Amino acid sequence: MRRGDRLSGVGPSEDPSSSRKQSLLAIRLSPGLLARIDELYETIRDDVPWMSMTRSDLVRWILTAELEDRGSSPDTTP
Amino acid sequence: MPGNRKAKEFRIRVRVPEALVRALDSHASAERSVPGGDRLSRNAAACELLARALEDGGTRAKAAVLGRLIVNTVRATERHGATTLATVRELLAGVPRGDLDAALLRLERQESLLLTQKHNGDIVTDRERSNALHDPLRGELLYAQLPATDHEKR
Repeated sequence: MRRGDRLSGVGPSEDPSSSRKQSLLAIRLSPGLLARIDELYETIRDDVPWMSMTRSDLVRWILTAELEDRGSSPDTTP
Repeated sequence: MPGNRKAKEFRIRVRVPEALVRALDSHASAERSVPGGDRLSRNAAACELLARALEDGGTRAKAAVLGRLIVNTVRATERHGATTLATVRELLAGVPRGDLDAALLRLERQESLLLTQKHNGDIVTDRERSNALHDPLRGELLYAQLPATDHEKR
């Protein structure tokens, strides 16, 4: 597989858990928090340029990881 | 002024599993139990989690995202439950090798992956050897393997 090729099932948009029942979560972010999310988003986009990922996907991943870290498992792993 | 504060906020919509919303609400309720504190709103709980995850400059959040990427990469490329570290490295070529190695070892500690020297008698080539992860006790680790339950349930 060449690096430029898309690989299905890797990016957060294609997370297998996405087939479960979903809700739309609206979050109001301060400019500072948004800037930090954007900075991380750009870093990841540079590291893995072929991956299809939106800023919303990144926010979902961070929230999931943080909740798992605190023992409130959102059970989003496939 | 509340009007001004609202104007400076940015709204983002995130599609999430309902289980995540429930976990977020549970987290918000737990924060309420702080003496004298009010219950956090769902929005405040989400912002608090995001801020904490990014407070170290994003290192921890990036590590968490990288871990998910690695697991998903292994899941998407595995054959009989495993893939070579060479494949993982090639697909995540932009990630510094040290960061990738640290993430792989962390995933193994969390039992999300198993790193192994051999897999089903596969023939090892220079490609695999040059992308191995050196472990002082186990030697050259060439494969990332999904946990048995993860592999079997699919």
